[in-house]
Amino acid sequence: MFNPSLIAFWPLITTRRSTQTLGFLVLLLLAQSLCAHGTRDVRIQELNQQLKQNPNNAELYLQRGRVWIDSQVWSHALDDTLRAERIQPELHEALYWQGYIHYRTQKFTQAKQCLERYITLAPQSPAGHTTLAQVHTEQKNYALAAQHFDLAIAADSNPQPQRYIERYRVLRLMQPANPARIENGLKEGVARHGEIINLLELLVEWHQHQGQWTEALAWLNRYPEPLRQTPQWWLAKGHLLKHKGDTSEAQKAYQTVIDNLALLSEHKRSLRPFIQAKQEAEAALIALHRT
Amino acid sequence: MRTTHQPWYACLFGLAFIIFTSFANAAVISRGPYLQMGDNDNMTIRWRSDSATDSVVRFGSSPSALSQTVSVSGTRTEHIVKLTGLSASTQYYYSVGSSTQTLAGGDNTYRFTTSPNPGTASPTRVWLIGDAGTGTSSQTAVYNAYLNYPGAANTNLWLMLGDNAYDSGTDAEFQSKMFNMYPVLMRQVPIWPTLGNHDGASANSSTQSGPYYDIFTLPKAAEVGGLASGTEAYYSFDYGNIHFICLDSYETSRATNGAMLTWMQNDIAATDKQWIIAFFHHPPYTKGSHNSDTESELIDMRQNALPILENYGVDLVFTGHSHSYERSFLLDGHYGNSSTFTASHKVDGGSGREDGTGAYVKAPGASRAGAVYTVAGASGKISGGTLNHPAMFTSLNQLGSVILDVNGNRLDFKHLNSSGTVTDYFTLIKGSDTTPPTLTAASAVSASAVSVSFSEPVAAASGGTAANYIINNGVSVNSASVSGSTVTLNTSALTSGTNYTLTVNNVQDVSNNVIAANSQRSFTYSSGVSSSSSSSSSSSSSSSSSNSTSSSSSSSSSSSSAGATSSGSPTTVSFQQGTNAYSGSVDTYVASGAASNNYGTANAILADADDGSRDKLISLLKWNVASIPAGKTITAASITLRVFNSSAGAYNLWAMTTAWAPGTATWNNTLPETNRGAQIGSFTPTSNTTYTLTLNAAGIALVQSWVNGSANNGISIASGGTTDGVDIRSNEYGTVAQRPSLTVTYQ
Repeated sequence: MFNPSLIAFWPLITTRRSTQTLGFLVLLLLAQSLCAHGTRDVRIQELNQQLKQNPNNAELYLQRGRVWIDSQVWSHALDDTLRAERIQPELHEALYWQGYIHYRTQKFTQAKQCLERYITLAPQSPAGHTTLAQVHTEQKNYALAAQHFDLAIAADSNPQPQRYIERYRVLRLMQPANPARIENGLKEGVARHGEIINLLELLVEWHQHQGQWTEALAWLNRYPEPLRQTPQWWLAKGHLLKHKGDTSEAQKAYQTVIDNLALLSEHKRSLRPFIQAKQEAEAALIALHRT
Repeated sequence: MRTTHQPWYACLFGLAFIIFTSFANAAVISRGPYLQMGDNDNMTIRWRSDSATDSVVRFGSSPSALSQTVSVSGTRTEHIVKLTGLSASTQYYYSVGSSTQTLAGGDNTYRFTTSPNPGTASPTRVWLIGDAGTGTSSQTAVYNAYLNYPGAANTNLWLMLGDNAYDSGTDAEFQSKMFNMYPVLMRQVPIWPTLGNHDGASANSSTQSGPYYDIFTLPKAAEVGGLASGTEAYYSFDYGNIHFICLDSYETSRATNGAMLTWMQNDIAATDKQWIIAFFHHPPYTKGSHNSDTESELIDMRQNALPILENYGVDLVFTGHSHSYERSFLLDGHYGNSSTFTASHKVDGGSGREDGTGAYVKAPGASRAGAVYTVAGASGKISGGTLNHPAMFTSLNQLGSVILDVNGNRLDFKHLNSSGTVTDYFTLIKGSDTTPPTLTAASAVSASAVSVSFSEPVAAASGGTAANYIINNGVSVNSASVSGSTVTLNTSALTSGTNYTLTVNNVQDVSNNVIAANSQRSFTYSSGVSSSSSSSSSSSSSSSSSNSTSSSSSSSSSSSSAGATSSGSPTTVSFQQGTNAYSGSVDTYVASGAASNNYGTANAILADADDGSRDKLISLLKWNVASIPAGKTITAASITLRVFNSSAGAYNLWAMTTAWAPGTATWNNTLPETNRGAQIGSFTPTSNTTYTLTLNAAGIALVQSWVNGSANNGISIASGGTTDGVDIRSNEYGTVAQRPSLTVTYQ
């Protein structure tokens, strides 16, 4: 998120050195200190006081809008961001927050308008592209959504794993699907973040969806070592092997689910997810025996 | 009239110029050092300098032996140096600076201790603060209360629960409201933070940018255990046998199918650590300055994160956000708003206190054993609220912090308020006792009494039931009395030289585990002496320790066998400099107002809160107890002091936690108020006479640790606040009998 903070006052600090300004800064510091103490009402009250002193400060309106956004008081938040934009049109962040507020209140058309304007002004904004991609996703414009996720990831020096997941989901919804783009998108994430479980899971899921059992198994085998000891991993392996047609290896995997449960600490082996994995493995073994 | 001394002035000017330019070129540390990402063999040390230099950390096993160096070439003001190849569970001292200059460190406050090896259960102290970064006296009071609390000097981990720097988490705010507030602890204990909403005002979790992400070096590739998350916004790490999970409840998607919670599900499924502790900023249950029934982050965390955490057996969950202290019962399965909370959500609706309704116990084999949820957001400010969430055992509008002491399967939790008072506490036991007692020995202690030893304390009811004991050869058991793990049977007359078999049934331990049916032991009664089948008893007195005065109680007829607690006659030894040629005692005192002075040769040791000229005085004493045989159990300990200048005020005895020597100890290199552990006793020396001070359980444990081979740093004597000082004869005093002595009883 953006940082309104004290940066907004820097021009004031450096260009006006009157006693009045000094007094204002003292008040500001006092207010910052009081704001430090946290509740929404106190923070709003302090910002109100600051705005009385300086009613044309767009940054303060934006700051107050952020507090309203945090509190999900959307109408006040929108009012403040609109006013910030009116006072200081070059404060592009105001436009972003308007788009964000519209998105959160499901006014997707308005959100799209604001965000498109914003990314025109700030074309390298990962947040702008991400939120616009999310708006397009809501409007089922998957191709556009994927395009803006691409731009968000490209513009971001350190994109979170979440971005790759969102893009993957959008690409899965696109018709016709582009398998290479889907797989490469995930691999791009792996190249960026290493073999983190979120991306490996999706690679397994994708190849499973494609019926590419060998590839799915290969990605499964790249799970982090601690996970490869868990009943869930062996269960997933059993399922993939079964689908691949390797019945005897699938049986071994399912049996390992059951055997490995006993290896878990006494505090873990009765936990519901592990018991469920065991029950699934037992059912799968019975089904395999029948066939 | 002026005389001319131009050449002299020129020299002086030149010298001044050299000194000035030298200082002008010297870098000054402006932040830290502080510790990050510590594990069993690595530690990352960070600091900021006011001008760019290369980065050098010198470290070693003592402040005076920083024999190893790690350097990072190139110049910078933000320094990040990773030490690698360290030894587990080892204390290191360090300094930071450049290749030409030491900026900070080199004394015993610049130190850290590496983690135990992964998976190793080790006593662990964790300090937790939340919403601390106000920069106010309230924040300072919470910090000082903790520093004064026993064990603070041995803190292993420090968790920050978000809103670490108000108001917007700017770099300047982190400087003034975090770095400047905790100057000492930061250089000693690795910090593990989570992002609060105020920190998030200047940070961006999506891109991991902004002051919060710039300041902290956090794992995203499983560098300290756990699963790689790919982001510093949420992460996990291990410390010994504890797995910690940190979530971002503010800026990262809290959806169940989002990256964070899917990662968490895998991470918690994969951990094999005994304890699981999660922390994030927004509380799932609170009625403080925030309301978990109405605020989206709080609802999301409760509805989305908690089911996963509980499914996989989380033990404790810590949060902040509300500026209060709220601590739950042992809970499970409550994901709705507060009006839907019922008694069925309480796994244990008691206090969790051993002196109350009993410790919370998470039984092994339980599928849903419960977790305790804590809001600890009052480390810098209190903001009230209705404080009436029904999930909470207690809710306090009180400044404070949380202390965890984890040891094996036991976790002790305390809420320490800003006045230094523990206002809430509980114990969580991971796994109940499922081991039945065993019969370890039986021996006749007289012609009509048999002593029976068990592997653990037994319940009074079953252990005290005579019918549960059968002795063959026509001996009847008339009564049974329990004392811990020993039961004494009053029997009909035993015949000398006869071999008897004792059969025990139905005896339970305190957790109701029942002894194996027909457990048996044989013993023989011989007039005066008996023997059991497992080993012969001895009636000789214990040998005295060399160079110390010892005494032993009269012969006993206890016996031992495999698995039994070692037993024998209690032996008491005294250690006093010069008595029986003992020369293992040292003492001195240090003064805060003469912080570099050493008083090791004084014939008195002094203590005072302010002696009028040297401010605080604290005495340090130490005895070598190596003559106590290894494996012995200390049962009592006392210290005898001869006071010759009395005081009306109270004085406390503390365990010292840092090494010192009488010839070099100063206030500066011992910092006795910081480097102290548990309080082990106290006294008010109102007369000029000899005082024998019986040490409390912590004192006995301290002496036991010395016997067990842990570092013996002795004890300190400090004023409890009085400025009416006390003077005590020291080891240098001429009359040997008036020198300090330590008396220890062991078995």
